[in-house]
Amino acid sequence: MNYQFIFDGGTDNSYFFETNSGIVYQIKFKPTPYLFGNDCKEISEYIYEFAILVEYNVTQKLPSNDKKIGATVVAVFIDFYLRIGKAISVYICDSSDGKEFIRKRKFDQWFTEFNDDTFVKIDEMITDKNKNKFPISLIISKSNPYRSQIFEAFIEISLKNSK
Amino acid sequence: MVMEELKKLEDAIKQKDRTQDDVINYLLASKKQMREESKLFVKTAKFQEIRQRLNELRDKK
Repeated sequence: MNYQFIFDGGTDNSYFFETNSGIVYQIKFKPTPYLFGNDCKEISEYIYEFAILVEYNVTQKLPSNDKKIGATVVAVFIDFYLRIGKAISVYICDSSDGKEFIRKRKFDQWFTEFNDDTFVKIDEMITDKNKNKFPISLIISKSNPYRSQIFEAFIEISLKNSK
Repeated sequence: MVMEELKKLEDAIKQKDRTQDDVINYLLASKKQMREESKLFVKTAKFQEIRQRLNELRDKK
């Protein structure tokens, strides 16, 4: 069972929901057509950066282990992919506080638990010039007709190390 | 400032010779930009409207 949510749309295809503890989340699917480079014309218009943001948290405490949050995130994905079936979401965990791997584990857990076989998620690791590793995930509908091309373009991101 | 930085990084990932570093820098800056927007958004009338809609949704249950 998930929280009810609002689709507000806008430039970043925003969704909102509120938990029982009064935390308001915003989920965004921000269009990023150039993320896979300029050679992927057929798929570029469907590429989005996925983000989940805590908009309002009166307690200022970190959200508890509320299972309905994960169920809601997946429900939002299902709703968005019903609107845009060929959507390609790229997710990178927030690393500003060094907790990106904790966030990734939680996100993986949500997908394992609530994905009803609609989506396929693949994970990669991007390395910056200082050899720091960042987990990055790609989510598409299993019925996406461009899946081979998408996987190839996604993996390509993690292959190029230097100019 | 974040917006200008993001624009530069966006231009970098459009290049053919872009690297993982360009991609990660762009994605992290974009995330930062979204967090900044989020901080401002809670102060807007639009956010109040969203909260109102969320309250109505909860009351309907």
